[in-house]
Amino acid sequence: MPIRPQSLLFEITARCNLNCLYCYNVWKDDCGYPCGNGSTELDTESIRRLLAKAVRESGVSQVTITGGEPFLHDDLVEIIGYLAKMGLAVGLIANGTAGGEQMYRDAVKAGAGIVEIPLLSSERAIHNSMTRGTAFDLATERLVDVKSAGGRACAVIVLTKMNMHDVRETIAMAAVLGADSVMINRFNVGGEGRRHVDELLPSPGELTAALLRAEAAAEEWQMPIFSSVPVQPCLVDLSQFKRMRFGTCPACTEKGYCTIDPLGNLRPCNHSPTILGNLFESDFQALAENVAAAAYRAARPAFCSDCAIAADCQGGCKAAAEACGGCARGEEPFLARNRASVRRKREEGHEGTKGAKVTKNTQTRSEEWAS
Amino acid sequence: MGKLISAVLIAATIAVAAVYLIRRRNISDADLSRARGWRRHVLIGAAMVLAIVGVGGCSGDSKSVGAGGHPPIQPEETIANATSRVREAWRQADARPDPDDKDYAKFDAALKARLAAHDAAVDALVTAGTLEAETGAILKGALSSLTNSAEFRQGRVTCYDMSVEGGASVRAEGDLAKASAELARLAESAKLAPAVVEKARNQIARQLQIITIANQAGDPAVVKLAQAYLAGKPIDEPVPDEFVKAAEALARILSGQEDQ
Repeated sequence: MPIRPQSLLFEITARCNLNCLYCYNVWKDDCGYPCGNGSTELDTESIRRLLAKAVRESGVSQVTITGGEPFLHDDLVEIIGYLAKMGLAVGLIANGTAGGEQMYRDAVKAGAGIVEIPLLSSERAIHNSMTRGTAFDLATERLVDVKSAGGRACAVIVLTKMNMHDVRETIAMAAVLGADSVMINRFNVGGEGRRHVDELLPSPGELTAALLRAEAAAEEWQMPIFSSVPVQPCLVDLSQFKRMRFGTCPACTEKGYCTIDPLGNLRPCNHSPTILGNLFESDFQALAENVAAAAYRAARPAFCSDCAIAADCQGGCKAAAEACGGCARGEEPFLARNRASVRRKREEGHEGTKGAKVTKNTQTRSEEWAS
Repeated sequence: MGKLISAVLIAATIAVAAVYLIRRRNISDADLSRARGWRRHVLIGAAMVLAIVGVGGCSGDSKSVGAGGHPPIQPEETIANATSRVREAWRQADARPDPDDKDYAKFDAALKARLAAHDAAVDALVTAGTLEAETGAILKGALSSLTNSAEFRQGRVTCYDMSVEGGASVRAEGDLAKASAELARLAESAKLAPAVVEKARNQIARQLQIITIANQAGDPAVVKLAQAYLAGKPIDEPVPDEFVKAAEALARILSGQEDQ
């Protein structure tokens, strides 16, 4: 049965003007990824051919352009327009510091329906520390610009030890700037982030507290809020969140997404360094159904083998497990570091661990993916 | 029958005009000057009378026959139906799929069908003269934009793209007042750069302006029209008159005034 993902994520360039502590770009890790130095990119005509082929063969209705920093690509607006004219919904993930107001307006006008921009903290110093630049003023301005241009702005908070205390104020600021939604992701280890695990990765307790603060702020500001990077229910009790929605890993699955890198290589996920093959050389379906893709879809940590919700939860983010341990079947750091507490709870027969319930607000999709 | 009469009258008008032009070309200047007087006036007058009667016949018939191949429009019943279809489409402009129902293809198809029904109904109202063509175009474009947006939002619960779901482009009046107060606090504490404060202030003002228009129009659903129509338009320009007119028309349709 062909794999018909909902969307494609296209990394238009590996270049970036920032070097964020938490960056997950696979080429930031010293793993010898093909476009590691950002010097190799496709020309615009090749990008058009690549995307037309990928869209035709995959049947997606949405393409999200990311990077690197997409606004560093000279023809970004042209590519957005090209995709929009194909009748696709186009999203954009940018850092807010490359491309001025006019470029953002042009991007929205060309068809970028939603633009995701990090708003890491309401405190300038924290945002700038996490991005290792002077990004705060530009990022906040671009959030307003997207909205003013008629686009939908999504403020992205990457929850780390550095900014988790400030999450309530950050969501208030996002509301003031006109953001349409907030995506609040726990720090997911990979890329540059691998070098900063100790200083960034919160404990399950810290994450829970921060997410509860976020939920309260979202309620206060009537802000749609999503936690996309998977959170394991055995580490954080998701049933206590009434408003926030949690994602599970949809990589390379039906209704999920696949990632295309700047050279046309297909990967199961933008966090994963696994290359399934090149779209200039092979058909999308052949790659999405090949052995590597099937293995990626089936991967679960052995630790989760007797858990009743393993098929839904999948042990968290397998790309992070892969980035850190070299194998998608491994345990990602958030699980590996806290497995002792899970084991202890299991021994005590604590509900929500072994045989944990997937709460209603967890987006369980495994029954679809199984097909 | 009416169509036949109209066709005969138009043909007669063309014939009279042709005769007049041929005669004018064939006669000399001297003859022409002599001919000025009753003969010329009679010819022009006859042409005008025939033209008025012919065009009147056509436009009168269009209400019952329809134009451009559209099905016949029966003024009372069909206008009411069309109004009802437009109203229904706008009332459901924000409809989302049941989160437990993963049949996204079915939801997408329903959205497209609703849009097609709305557009056909708007066309019928324009043809019937109930809506101005410009207003019709605004309503069609705006609902199309909202529909595409809904299609874009629905069901994207993947790791990254779930963020696209939900969220009103124009916030409620109370939320905007709160945002305005919070902005003032952030400006005072210099948490935001002055340029950002200025832009955010303008944006809040623009949203309040839209809500004011919606309130004046008497139906909060007009905010949806504003969201779609004003998307991509600079916030520092005044709200266009054609939008205000379309907002009023939509409010009449939503309130049922057009049915009476």
